[in-house]
Amino acid sequence: MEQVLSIRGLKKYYGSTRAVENVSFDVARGELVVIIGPSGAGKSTVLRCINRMIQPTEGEILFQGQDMAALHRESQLKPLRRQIGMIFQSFNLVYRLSVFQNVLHGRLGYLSTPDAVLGRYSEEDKKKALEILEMVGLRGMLYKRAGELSGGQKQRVGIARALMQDPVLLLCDEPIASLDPNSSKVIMDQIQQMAHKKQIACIVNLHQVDVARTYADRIVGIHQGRVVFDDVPEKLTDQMIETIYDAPLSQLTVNMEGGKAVNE
Amino acid sequence: MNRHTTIPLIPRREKIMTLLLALGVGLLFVISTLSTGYNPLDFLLNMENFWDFIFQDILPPKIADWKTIGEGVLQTICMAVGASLVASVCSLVLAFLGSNTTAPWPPLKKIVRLVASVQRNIPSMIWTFLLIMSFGIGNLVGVLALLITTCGFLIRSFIETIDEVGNESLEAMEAVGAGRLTTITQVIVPACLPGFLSWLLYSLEVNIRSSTLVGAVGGGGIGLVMMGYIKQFRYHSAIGVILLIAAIVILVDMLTNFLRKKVLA
Amino acid sequence: MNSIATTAPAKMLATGSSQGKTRQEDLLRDGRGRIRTKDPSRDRTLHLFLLAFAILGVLALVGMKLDMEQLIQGVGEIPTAIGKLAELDFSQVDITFTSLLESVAVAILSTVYSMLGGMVLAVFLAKNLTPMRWISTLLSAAMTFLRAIPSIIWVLLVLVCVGFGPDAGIIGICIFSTSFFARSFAQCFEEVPQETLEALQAMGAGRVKIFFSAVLPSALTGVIAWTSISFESNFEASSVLGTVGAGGIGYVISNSFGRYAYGQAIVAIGMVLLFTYAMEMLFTFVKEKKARIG
Repeated sequence: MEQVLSIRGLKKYYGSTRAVENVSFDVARGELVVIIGPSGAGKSTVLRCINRMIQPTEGEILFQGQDMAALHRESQLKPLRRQIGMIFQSFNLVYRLSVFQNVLHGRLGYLSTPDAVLGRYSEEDKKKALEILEMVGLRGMLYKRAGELSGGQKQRVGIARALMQDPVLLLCDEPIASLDPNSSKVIMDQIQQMAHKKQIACIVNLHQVDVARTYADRIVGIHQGRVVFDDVPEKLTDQMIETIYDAPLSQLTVNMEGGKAVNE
Repeated sequence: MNRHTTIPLIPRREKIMTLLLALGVGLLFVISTLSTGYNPLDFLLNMENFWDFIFQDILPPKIADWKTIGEGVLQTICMAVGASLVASVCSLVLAFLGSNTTAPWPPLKKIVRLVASVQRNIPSMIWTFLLIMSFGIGNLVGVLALLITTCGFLIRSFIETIDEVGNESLEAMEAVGAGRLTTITQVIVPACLPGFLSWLLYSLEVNIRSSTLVGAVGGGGIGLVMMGYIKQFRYHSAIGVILLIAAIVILVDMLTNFLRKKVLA
Repeated sequence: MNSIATTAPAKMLATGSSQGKTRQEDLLRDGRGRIRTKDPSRDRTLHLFLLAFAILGVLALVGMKLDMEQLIQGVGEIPTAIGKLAELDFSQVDITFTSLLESVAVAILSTVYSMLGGMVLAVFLAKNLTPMRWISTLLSAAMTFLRAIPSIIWVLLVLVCVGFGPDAGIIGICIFSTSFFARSFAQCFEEVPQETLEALQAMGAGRVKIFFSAVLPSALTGVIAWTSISFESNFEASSVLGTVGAGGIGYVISNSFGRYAYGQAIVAIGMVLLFTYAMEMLFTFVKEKKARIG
């Protein structure tokens, strides 16, 4: 399989705190990789190192053969960043703007600065945005303000915005942590669809082990900044889960049934 | 091609409204520019005059007479603090008479609001002129002028605070069966107190600034001293006083900010 | 009921510092052992402040040595003054109206120019947008200084420099108003969530693009609100700057008072009042409409 991303020996230290301690894994085209691990294990940090929102301390991040970690200038990063979509736990939309405008923001990286300043998007971009909105089921909400939507709908706008970028790689940071079970299912279904139908490589950070098992092609378990598991979901044993979360399974299951995050 | 091929980014109505607004502001701007003949480049082109003025006429600042100036500063601060105190007490009572939630008699509500509106919509310097007619020149006029405008401002702000907080809690209290006065003392005052204080602190800041201005047109205090220097073309002394005023304003702002954090936390 | 009060001395309970006691003992009591409904220490700073403010205020009033006789006498004079003002004199109404328009024009121009200037400065001032921290700190100090001096005093200074006319008014008000705008706009910009900016940055959008497509739209409501506030205060300044020797309606007012033409003065004051009142109504209307639409 064609590798989109290979991470080799990634480290991130904050002073003496070691947030990420030697993480390596690969992601292939059309593959949905789920990263699980307790809060503070460094999941978010790994994700943000990939598109260089955070500067890694050490290691290689080969994105389509180019080492992202070695780039330092904003102008070198921008063209790579626009090929990497990102979805956030708190959606991070501009809530005063319409759904349409938020989705079109996905094209900002491709627009010239004057066009971006005046909000002059091309008709093709607009048509494409309409198609994507149709796909995520928000075509009827076109001119609604993003702030007026429900949580699940906001996240769908987030997905549509990421899709507008024509991404090769999609980073999802706890995409369903602030959603109810129903919306969570819709969102995870859509992410899976993008990975498999559109052949986009997806990396999803999750708290919920059961969700990870259902959707992942491969699961990466992180414990204290190190990869302790990297394989297909079928191989994720109960014992392995206990190792990753550093807690007896009985305690974890109770938490999961409550729909709560598995942590502490 | 028909015109439906372009997809509007924002709804048509909104776009027209925005355009109209922009056009209106643009028109006002052009008319104002033509009527005043103001050209911003004039000032920028004549910067050397400006620098000459700053470095020769006004710098370095000079404090000519510490005693007069010290007394003036004290007067000004007293004017501001005193006016704020009396205004806050008056406004508190009047705000309860004027608020939608607590007004005992609707016509009175209208009167309170109208009076408050007149009070704050006439600038304090003009109030000074009006008051001088009956009270003559002096710090009494200064205090009264500040008192009038502060009252007008605080009544409106207090009413807004009460209306914001009041409605929901009022409903709950009515359901319990509490009387009006009970509701005011037990629910509204405690709930509104932080809001009241925040406005009070703001009015104190505003009053420190305006007390110098009111002074300049006959209300006494440091403003009168500064105006005197300017009229005598003693710019070095005037700028000394102005810098002193700035220092006081900054100090008071720092103090009120500190209090806001401390008291309203 | 009595048993609660006797389990421990009320005084000790009131301090609330003891740990690991039973539920009942969490209760706060006053000096006579009655249960308190609120924790006095929570509001202590607030009450202390109110007390201090009251004392200071009274001291200020006493310390000014206000002339009580003058006050009483003055109150007695009020009817006479009202009588003089009531003799409305419309003979100068055309000049008065022209100078009102001049004041309005000065207010509009100073608001427009200072808004543009303030917007640019705010970008460098806002902590989440500034390219370099030290620029923000430096600007913040400069803005604090400019804002500390009332606009009328700025007008006075500029007047000495550029001479009589609307220019002095516009420039003077602009100095104050620009720093006011810079501070308030920066505050609006800082309220835009950092995560939203991060999201656009992650898509490869640069600073300029992020500012125009996310920061400005998010802060728009605040920007409009501050602009209306600033216009009101700029008009107030431009309407009185005539009293210190510049033009506009303030000059008509102070001139009328100087000539004891009280009937003319009150007509001019009425115009100022009408205009500011109309502005206030307009802004309230827009605000309410905006709040309804959301």
